[in-house]
Amino acid sequence: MLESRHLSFRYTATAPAFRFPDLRVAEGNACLLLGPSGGGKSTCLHLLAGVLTPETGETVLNGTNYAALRGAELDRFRGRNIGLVFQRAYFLEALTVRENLAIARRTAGLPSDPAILTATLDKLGIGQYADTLPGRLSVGEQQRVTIARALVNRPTLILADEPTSALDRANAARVSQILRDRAAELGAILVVVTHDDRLRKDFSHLVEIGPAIPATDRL
Amino acid sequence: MILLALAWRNLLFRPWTTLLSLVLAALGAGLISLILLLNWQLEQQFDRNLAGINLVIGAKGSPLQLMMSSMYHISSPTGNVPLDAVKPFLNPEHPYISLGVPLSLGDSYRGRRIVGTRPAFLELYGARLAAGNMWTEVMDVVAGATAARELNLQLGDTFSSSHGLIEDDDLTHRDAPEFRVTGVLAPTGTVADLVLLTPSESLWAVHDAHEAHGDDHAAQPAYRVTGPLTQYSEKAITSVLLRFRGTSVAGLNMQRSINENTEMQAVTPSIQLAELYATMGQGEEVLRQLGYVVVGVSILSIFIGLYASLDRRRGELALLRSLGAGPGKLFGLLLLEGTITAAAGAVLGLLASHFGLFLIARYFSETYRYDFRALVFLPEEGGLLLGSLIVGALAAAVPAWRASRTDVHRTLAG
Repeated sequence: MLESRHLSFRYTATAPAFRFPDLRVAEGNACLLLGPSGGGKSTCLHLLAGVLTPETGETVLNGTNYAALRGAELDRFRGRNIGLVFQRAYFLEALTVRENLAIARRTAGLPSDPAILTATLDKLGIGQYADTLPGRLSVGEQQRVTIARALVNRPTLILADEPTSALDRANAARVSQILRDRAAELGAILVVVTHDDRLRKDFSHLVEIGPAIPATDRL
Repeated sequence: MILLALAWRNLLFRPWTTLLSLVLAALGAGLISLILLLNWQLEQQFDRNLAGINLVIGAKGSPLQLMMSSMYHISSPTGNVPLDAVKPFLNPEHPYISLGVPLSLGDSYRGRRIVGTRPAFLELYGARLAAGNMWTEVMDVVAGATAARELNLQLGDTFSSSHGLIEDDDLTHRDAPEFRVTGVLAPTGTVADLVLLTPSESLWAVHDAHEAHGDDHAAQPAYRVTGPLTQYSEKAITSVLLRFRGTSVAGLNMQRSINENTEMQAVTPSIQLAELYATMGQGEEVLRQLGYVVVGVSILSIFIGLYASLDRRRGELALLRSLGAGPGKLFGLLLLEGTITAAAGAVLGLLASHFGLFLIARYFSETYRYDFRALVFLPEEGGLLLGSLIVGALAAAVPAWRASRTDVHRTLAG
C-alpha cells in the first residue's frame, strides 16, 4: 500500500508551497496524476520517489515512512522498492541495454541474474537489443528500455513521469499498456504523472494536480 | 568493483579524450622514469668500475679523457708516457701505493679493446679465470667474459689486432704476430668483462713488427712477460691505475706533484666523476623539469576532460542517484576515472621508458660495448606509479565533487 499524507514542498524558503492531494493506492492498482505543465506533477512524483524531501507530510510504502529516511538508507530503499520511468530516456551511455539493467540491480544491492535480465527484456519485446548501446535505439525502443530498467528489480512501486509525452498515439498507447500490464503482473503499485490526456481513458483512478486544485483529494 | 567496471567503460566510451590524457600522462611519467633509469644505470656502471682506483696517471690532455679511456675504455687515450717516468708507481714496495696497474692501449680486435697490462689488472676488478690459463708468453690473451662470448673466442683461437677502436680491415696489423687466446675470465660485472687482456709486451711486439716491416734482418726484441714491467727502459705505456694504502694525504700530494712537476697528469677518478655528474645533472634537471611540466599538462587534461563531460553526463549521474547510488559513489566513479587514466598513462610511460632504455642499451652495447639492463625496476618507479594515482585523484577531485552534488530532481524533471 502506498499512502501519502499532507505532502507539501517549497523550492526556496520564500517561494510559495506546493500542496499535494493525499494518495492511497493498493498493490496491483494504478493511479494517474493529471495536471497542466508547471502544476507540480514532477515535484509530486519526485516526492513519492524520495528524490525530494517534503516540507511536511509523509510517504508510506507498506508501512515504511520513507520520507523520514535519509542518505544511504533512503538510496537503498529507493533502489530496492521503487522503479522510475522518466520524461526523457536517460541511460548509462557506455553500457549496453542488458548492462544498463544489470547496473540497476547491482546498484540496489541485488545480483545481476542474467535470466532475470533476459526475461525482463523479452517481456517488453526488446530482447534482441540486449547487447546494443541504448543510444542506437529509436525513441520508442529507448522508452521500453527505461521501463524494463524500472521493472528489473521487481519493485513494489513504479513511478512514471510523462512516459508518453514524446511518443506518437500508437506508441503512447503501447507504452501505457505495457506499464499497466507489467505492474499488474508484478502486483506493483503504478503511479503515472502526465499532462497527456490520451492516457485518461486507460486509468480508473485519476487525481488532478494543479495550482487551483484543493490541498486534499483522497482516492 | 561495479564502480571500477563502470569507470573503465566510461573511459572507453570517449576514446579520444581518454587517449589524449593517457598520452600526456605517459609522456610525463615516461620522461621522468627514463631519466631515473639512465641516471641509475650510468652511476652503476661508473661506480662499479671505480674499483677502488684512487689515481690515474697518464699523458697530459683532458683529465676526463684520460679517466674515460683508462678506466672505462671509452674514447681514445691522451697519449703515452715513458715507462721510466712511471716505474716508481709500479714498485710493489711503494709506501703509499698498494696496487699499481700499467695499461697499454691503442689496439683492438673487432671493436673490443686489447689492454696490455699485468696480472694485477685482475686483482683490481676481482676477476678470476673461468677457463684456460694466464699468459706465459708475448701475444697470449685472456679474454673478458662478455668479449669472449660476443667474439665467440675459444681457447687456442688466434687473431690479428687492429689499430684504434674501429673495426676496419685497412687498420689490421697483418704483418704482426697473431694473438692467441689462453684463458677466459669469469663474469665480474665490471669493465674487465669487456676487454681482451694481454701482457703489455704484446702491444710493443705488434709495433716492433710494424716498424721492422720490409727489413727481414731486423732483430725482434725478446720479452719476458712473467717478470715485472720495470725491467724495461725506453718503452712507453698509456697510463697507470693506482690504489693507495688507506686514505693518505700523501696521495693528494702525489697528484699535485705529478701535475706540477712532470710531463704527465694525475687524475682523481672520484673528483672527475663528481664533475661529470654535475655536468650531466644540468641536462638531467632540464629534462626532469620538462617531465614535471608534461605531468602538469596531463593533470589539466584529465581535469578538463572530466569537467567538460559533466554537463553531458548530468543525466546519467542523476540516473545513478535515482537507482540508489549515493553521492559518495558518484564521487568515487569520477575519481576512479581520473586515477585509472593517470595510472594507465604512468604504466604506459614506464613501459615506454624501459623500451627506450632497451634501445639506448643496444646503442651503448654496439658503440661502447657497455651492457645496460633494460629490465631493471627501481623503487622510484613504484613511487612514480603511486604519484600518478595521487595526481589522477587530484585532477579528478573537483569534477568528482561536482558530480556528487548532482541535483537529481532538476536534472530528471527535464
